[in-house]
Amino acid sequence: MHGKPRYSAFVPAWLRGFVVTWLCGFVTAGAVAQPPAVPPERVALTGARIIPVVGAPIASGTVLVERGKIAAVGPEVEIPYDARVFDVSGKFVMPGMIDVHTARGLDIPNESRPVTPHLDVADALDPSQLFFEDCLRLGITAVHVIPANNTVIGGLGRVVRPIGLTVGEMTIAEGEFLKIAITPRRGFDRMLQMATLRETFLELDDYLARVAEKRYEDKLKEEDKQIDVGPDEARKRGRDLVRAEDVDDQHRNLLRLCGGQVRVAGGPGPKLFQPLGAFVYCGNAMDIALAVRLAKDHAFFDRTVLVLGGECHKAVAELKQAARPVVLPGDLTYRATDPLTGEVHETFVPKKIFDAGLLFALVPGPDDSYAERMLNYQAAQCVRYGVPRDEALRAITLNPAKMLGLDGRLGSIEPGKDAHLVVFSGDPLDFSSVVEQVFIDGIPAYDRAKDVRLQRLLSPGTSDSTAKPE
Amino acid sequence: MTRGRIARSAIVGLLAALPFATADEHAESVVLVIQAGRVHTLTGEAIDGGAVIIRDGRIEAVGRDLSIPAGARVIARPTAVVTPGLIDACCTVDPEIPQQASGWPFENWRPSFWQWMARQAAHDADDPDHVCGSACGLPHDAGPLALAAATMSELTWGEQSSEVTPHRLVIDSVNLLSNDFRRLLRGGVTTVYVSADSANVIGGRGTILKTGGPLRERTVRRADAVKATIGGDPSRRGLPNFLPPYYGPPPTFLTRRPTTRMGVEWVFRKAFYDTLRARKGLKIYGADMPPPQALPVLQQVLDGDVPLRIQARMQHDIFTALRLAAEFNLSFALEEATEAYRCLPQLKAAGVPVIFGPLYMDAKGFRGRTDEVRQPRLNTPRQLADAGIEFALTAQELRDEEGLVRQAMFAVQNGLTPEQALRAITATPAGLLGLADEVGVVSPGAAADLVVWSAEPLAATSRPLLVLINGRVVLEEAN
Repeated sequence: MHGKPRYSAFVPAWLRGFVVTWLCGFVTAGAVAQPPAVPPERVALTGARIIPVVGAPIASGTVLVERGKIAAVGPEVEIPYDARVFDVSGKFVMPGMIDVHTARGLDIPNESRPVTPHLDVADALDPSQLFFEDCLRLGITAVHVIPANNTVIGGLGRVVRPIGLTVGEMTIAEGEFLKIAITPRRGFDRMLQMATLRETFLELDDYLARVAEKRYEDKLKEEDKQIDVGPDEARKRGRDLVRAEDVDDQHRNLLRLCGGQVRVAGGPGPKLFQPLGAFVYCGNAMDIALAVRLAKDHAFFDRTVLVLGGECHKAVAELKQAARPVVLPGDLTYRATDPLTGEVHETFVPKKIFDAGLLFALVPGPDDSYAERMLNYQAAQCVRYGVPRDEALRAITLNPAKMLGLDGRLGSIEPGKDAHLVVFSGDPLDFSSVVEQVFIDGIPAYDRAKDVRLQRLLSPGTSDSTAKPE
Repeated sequence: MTRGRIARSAIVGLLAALPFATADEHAESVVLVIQAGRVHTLTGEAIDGGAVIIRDGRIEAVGRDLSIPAGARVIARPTAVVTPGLIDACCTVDPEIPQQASGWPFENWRPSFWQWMARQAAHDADDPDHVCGSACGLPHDAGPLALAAATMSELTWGEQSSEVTPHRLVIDSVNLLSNDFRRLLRGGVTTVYVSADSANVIGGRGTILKTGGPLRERTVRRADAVKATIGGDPSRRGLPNFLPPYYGPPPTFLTRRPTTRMGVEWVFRKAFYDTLRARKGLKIYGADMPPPQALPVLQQVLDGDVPLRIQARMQHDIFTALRLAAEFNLSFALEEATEAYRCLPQLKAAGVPVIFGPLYMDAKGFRGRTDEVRQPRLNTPRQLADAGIEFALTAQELRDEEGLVRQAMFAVQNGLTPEQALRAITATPAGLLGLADEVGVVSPGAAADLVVWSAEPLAATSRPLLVLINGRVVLEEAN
């Protein structure tokens, strides 16, 4: 106690009650009380019907969480005496769902400039956005926020949890992916879009060559030598001298995208950075081939996730050949009007992608839709059209985790993983079930009964039976 | 053309039509049997492992252990679930016909006609060239007046030549070949009441249609209920019909009446008041007089021969509707009724049935731009059910994942039982349309409008496999 500043020391007596009341009001005013940053020591969810996603469902079991990580799962788990126990008998527990590609949570989805690889969504994430509150309500516990599709090269994304008062507190993983769009941004046509992309990578090569040349010249100056070699030779000799701090913001992420290793004058230099991946937006079927070629040309194909528009199912052969993970559009049914007959043809995209054997993830539909913005409903739609239930559940949990390189931490209920758990009142694919509780890293982050905004929408009116229409 | 030639061509025409006619007759006399895992009859308990026998487009029998007539075509779907075809009692067909001028900046500041003119003049002074180049056909100084001459009939389903148009028929606007009917069918909807939109205080008469089958069998009732609207819609909607979008001034008494809720109520009252006067042989006069053709229809409404629908969203608008109805001793069905949960006792006391919907998280389109949807409740259907008020659910212009069967699904998520929800999209709307025991049930004698679902109809994982209208398969999905 000694030495710690005391409440009474800096708040005058007459104000104390007011401050306490005000703080309480602040905490309870939000629909979802902000949880403490430190997860509780031990949490146990008992009597649950567990859908672990990996492995067989458990009819009645316990999930034990220790310091934010899942410690044990199974029908017979010994509960430590000090665990905070949540009895969820008869309810379903599934891993937190993952929104793998969204620009929601940002103030503006895209920068007005076309090529912005140096940007990081961390600077624009607003923890107080209602979007994050909605995520909790819908059982989404991890969101990959990344610049939207109206770009050439957008910035770095970031995987966040929808709780926390700062971006740091929210962060699950720093950005591992840049956004690239093959479909032209507004005001661009395809030629300009592709030319801009090529030009950007050419400019990177040129930049590194100039840095290498400069480094070699500096070295000569330092050693007080005067050797006159041509620029090509200088670049070759200088490429091993390029250091990480020579690469500016604009080029660092591009270099990381290309693998992080300096290449000058056709030869390899030092590996300066960890590589980055790319979420490549392909709005149309024709974009797939362009995306694959671009990614192969610049050595990021192995770290590419394709973000598809509805029409892309037509390029299923190319997608199959590329065998890269794909993010499906929010509108799962693609509708096209036959120009000749005027008839509307419908294609259920996930079934086609599933049949092609691709790793796919579902994203929520439009914000203002009632059902489609729920990932579990998106999965239910897949089951409706013949995708097996397990595969549909993976498409909203484990598959997105794999795409983000976070399958060691997220996407299933297994010991050692982050404790992202959603408690549903019933089967998550049954629409009458609702999200009752959400745990993120073991923190009880959401409780339906305390969701002020939702409870308002479910409250009775103030019908006054004595009032007459007069 | 001589009389003989006319007769001859008529005979040729008849002969040409004959083979089709006989083929059709033949198709109808075929007996069809549908076997399913479960049949929701809506007249009693659901029948597990039941079958439906259809003859001549009507349901002949439904139940378990029925003997299958010889020569019957049997469709066996042992895991499927059969329900009656769904009924939307307040459907807006063809959402591709925009219900208001697209891009009309309802939220934003809109320049008045004169402001626009002034801006245009200033712009012209700066830049003497047309934006569209040298030869767009319009004289250089055409200005908005020339454009204003064009009226835009495709912008609304509400006839705007008068505020009171119960003598206009919505059927005249319906395109039976529209893709929208296919879309409705894919959602399992087989009968719709197509409503006029809310642009008029007293609008046109809706029509009851089947969504599939031969065109000559589509129309169930050409002219049905008269649609009236209380609230802000009549004064906000349809405005661009007077002047093209962006050129019109905000509604004033010069361009538009009524301009307020008071005005809307007045137009409604005046119409029925004048009808009562006309019935007594008294002269009718004054502003906002209903057109003479409207009087006979309003007369029938007063007599209860033509049903009346009133759309109202907010509590005070619902109260206004109840008050006006009491004033003229009208019975009506309430449409949309966003805030019905705030006037349950009053609705119950007045015995007014409610056609509620749609349910939404955020209202879209025109509805979203009205200020009347700020206080929705997700569990209004449950509250209506608990209050004992007769209600049907409607999706209005929404389709697919927000269409009628999904509306029922949303209602179940928010507290309605699946049985109540299914009833609210089948038997109850059938009753409200005066088609009880004809559609909306699976019982002997009813029209064979059936949907065969892959699972329980209100499950998110369920889809229609087969849709029948009058015993004809109008939609069939492989597997």
